[in-house]
Amino acid sequence: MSDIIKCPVCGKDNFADQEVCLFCDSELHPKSDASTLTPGQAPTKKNTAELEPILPQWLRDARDQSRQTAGTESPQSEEQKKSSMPPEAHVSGMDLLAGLHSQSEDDGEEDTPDWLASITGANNKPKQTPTESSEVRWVELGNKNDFAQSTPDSKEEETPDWLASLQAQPPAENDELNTWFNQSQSPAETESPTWFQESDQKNDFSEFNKEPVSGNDETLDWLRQMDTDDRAKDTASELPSFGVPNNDNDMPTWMSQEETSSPLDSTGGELPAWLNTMGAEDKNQSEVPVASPEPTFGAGDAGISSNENETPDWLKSLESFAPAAETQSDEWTKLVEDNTPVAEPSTTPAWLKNDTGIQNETPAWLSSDSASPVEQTSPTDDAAFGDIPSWLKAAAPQSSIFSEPAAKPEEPSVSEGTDWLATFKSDTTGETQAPAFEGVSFNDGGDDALMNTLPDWLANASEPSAQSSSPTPITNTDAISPGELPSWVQAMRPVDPGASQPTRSFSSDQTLETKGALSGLQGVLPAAAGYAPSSKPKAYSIKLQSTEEQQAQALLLEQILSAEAEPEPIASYSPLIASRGLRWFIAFAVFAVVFLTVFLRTQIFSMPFQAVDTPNELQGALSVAQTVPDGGDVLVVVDYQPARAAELEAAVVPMLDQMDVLHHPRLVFVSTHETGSILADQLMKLDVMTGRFQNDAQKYINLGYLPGGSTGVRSFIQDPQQTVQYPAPFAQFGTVIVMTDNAESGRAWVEQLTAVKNTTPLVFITSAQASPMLQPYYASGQAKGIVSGLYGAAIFEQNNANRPGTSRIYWDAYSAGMLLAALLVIGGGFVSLILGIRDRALTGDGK
Amino acid sequence: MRVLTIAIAIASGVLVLLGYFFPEFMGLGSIQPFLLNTALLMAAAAALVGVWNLTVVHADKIRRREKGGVYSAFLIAFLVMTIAAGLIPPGYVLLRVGAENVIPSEILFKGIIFPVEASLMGILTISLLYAAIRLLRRRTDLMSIVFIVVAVLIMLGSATLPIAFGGNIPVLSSLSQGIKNVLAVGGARGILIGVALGTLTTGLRALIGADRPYGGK
Repeated sequence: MSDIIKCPVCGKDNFADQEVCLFCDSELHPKSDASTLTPGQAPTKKNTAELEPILPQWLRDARDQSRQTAGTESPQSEEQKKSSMPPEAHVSGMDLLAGLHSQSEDDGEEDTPDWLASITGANNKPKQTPTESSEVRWVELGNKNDFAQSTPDSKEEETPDWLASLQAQPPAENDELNTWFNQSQSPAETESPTWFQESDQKNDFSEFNKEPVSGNDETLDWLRQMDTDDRAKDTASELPSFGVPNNDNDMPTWMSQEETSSPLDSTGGELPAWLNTMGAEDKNQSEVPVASPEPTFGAGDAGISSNENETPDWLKSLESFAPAAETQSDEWTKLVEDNTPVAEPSTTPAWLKNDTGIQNETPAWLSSDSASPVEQTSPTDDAAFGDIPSWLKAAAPQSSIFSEPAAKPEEPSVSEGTDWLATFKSDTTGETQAPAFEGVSFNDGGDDALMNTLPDWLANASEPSAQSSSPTPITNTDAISPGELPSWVQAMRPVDPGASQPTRSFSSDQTLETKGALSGLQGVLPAAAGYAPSSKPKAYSIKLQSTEEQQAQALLLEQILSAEAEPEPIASYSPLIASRGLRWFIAFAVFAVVFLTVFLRTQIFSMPFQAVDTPNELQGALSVAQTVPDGGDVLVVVDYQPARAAELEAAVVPMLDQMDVLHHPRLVFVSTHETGSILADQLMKLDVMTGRFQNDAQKYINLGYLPGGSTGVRSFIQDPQQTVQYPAPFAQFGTVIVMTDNAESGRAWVEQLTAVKNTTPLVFITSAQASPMLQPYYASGQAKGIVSGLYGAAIFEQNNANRPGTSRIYWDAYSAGMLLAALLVIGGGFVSLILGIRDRALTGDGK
Repeated sequence: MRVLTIAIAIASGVLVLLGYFFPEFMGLGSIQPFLLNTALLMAAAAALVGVWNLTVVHADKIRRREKGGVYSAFLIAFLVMTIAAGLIPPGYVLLRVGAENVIPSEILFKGIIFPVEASLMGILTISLLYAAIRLLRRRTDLMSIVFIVVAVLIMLGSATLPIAFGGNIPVLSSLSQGIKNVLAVGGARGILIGVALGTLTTGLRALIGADRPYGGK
């Protein structure tokens, strides 16, 4: 199938070795568009010499100059690099930091960002061949799949350049990794790397641990943590258990997966072989026994045997590539066979030992980042991984790898060819099963803290253990050339949704972001727990929820409201039986007294005393009557009922008699009452008036009825001629005498006269009933005098020389009747009071 | 129509009111008597309308032969007689009794109206006296007693004793005058002030159309 390819134009099958399509003659292998470089696409070399003439002059000069400089200085620069490079820098090239260093060299052509330059401490260097960058990529990515990429069984033309360079170039090449590989070739055979031997020889790692690394400000915290881990393991080995409960939730995901993952064959095979080896050695060299003795060795054998094929081929190739390292491996093998307990620091690589010994020579990137807190690498905080650049993630965890085996019992390693690489697998299995590994807090150190310091690349290396059954093959073409895309750019690159997600296990939420800046990321925004409604909304009834007490109160309120509308019976008194005999007695008594006194014309009762009983209003009336203009008109208003005629006629006659005697005025009668006109005529026909006005028709004028009430009064006052055809204006009247038994009638005349600012004096001739209601007008000066009833007439008559004597005729009947009525009221009232008390007493007893 | 009546009422009231304060302004002083005379004529016409309405109502009772229809017949009969008596000119001699001419209206007044009303007033006196006597039997409270005592004091103060007993009642006469001139006048003044305020309010309500005694809601 691989030999058949489809034509991109016609879609028909063609052989792979064909250059053009057999059917459409189109090119079967179209050149990739350089402008669109897809992720993972390897750059294609092109011969640009033919394009040289078209370059600008300045560019050609620059290129020529660079060629000359490269040609003259290239050999020397290599030597100068070796000489100028500090020894620890070369040593560091053997470890994982070598990749960083080489990366810096590889990326030298590119403009290294300032922040990267400040971390790495390296300057821009001339561009290296891209073949060297593949190793750096391995360091950066740290993915086991990268190892699988470099399978030697691939075609020769697909062989990576870096591998080809390794095969072609002697080990004397001044590359750090090559040097380290050369040194590690003998351990590959003798299962003892050079740096391990060196650490054993020096045996100063314990001293390194004893040294207060923390005192060095320029040392990374994870290095200090490594020290504390070792010490904690020493303590943990003596303790049966830890106080910290074993909580899997507190463990990072990658660690949990490592625990649950299948053991040796899968886990060990996915870790870098050299790293497994280091772990195994560390575990073998541990002086402190593990709480749970784990026969990792045997398991390691099985793991080795089963995972031997998974050993990276590039390492395998290295084993047969550097025979010069066999002598070193022999020494290492001897050391293992002797089962010499190797101290923990012995696992420290040479570069680390040098770092501890020479603190001032700490690499620039390490010193610049030494101030970073340990918490940033804490596995409990997954986000901390994202804050660290990938290259630093790749570089930092090596120390933890070195310190990890410190807590493991030292196991004699088996020298079986490349088994040193697989021994780490068994150790890893032992770590996951060891109780001491669990429950150790980060601060206390130990394996947990050790694993916490593992970077994500190592975590990524352990994660796919669960997926080892179906590893995702990543071809070399899928890898990104570090020379083309820096790691930080690679970290920012959106991930293809279709690609496998190695960090999927960090979060249980596998939601893939498809929009915004987080597009392509998965599980970065986990939904909050309980976000979605977990239960059906509670249904509420619209029916009124009321208790029995509330219903009773509502019923009571309803009854109260209905009772308001019901008619309330009026409490009535018991009917008082009319005393017909009493009524007849009263009528007879009054009738008898009045008739006797009137018809008998008795003068038994004395008249009111003039000097004592004359009131002020009566004095005013006397004054008005005495000041009437001679021959002038006097308006007499007749506004009383015929029933009151006797009282009012008796009251007005003395005044008219006095005026007539003194000034002979002409009387003008007008009335606002229907019977007033007749009453006026009746007044003038009295016997007392006969002698004066009877034969002189010009003495009085009866204007008749004045309709309209107050309006008629106002109209008459304003224009008497138009109203009642009186020939003179109202001011012509010298005096206005209002005869009324009604207060309303008297008020109307007072108000209308005051409104027109009439100065004509007003005198009221009233009944005794209406007198109190007109008294205020006299008090206010609106009326000049008041003659009230028969009592006032009697006084006025006494002031008029007892003329005409009408009051005197009625006075005995009046006084006798008043006394009788008073006596009846007093006597009858007393009797009624007693009877009432008796009745109420009887009624109360009856009840 | 209702709006028209309201407008006429308000306009008439405003003009009359302005005529009080500004009689010389734009002839308001002359408009006011015109409106007053018009009101007098309308009041007189209203009296005729009232008489006509009374006649129609009682005539209907007679026609239906309702209970008390006889009194209605007497009412209508004397109504016609009184109107007829009033239409006789003053100089016309209808009846002469002796040397004196008999005026029909005077006959009706002196023979019917005056004695009837005087008799009613006398009966009222008997009724009031009887009620005063029986008051304390039904209600024996403070106000009833006060009412009876004041009435007795006024009656005793208004009367005099026979000459044989010395004439006036010195104390009671003064006490009676004091009650009439102080207590009664004080109460009457309060009533009049209230009436004045009520009249003012009624006038204002009529001016602004809030109160429509002339009809309409």
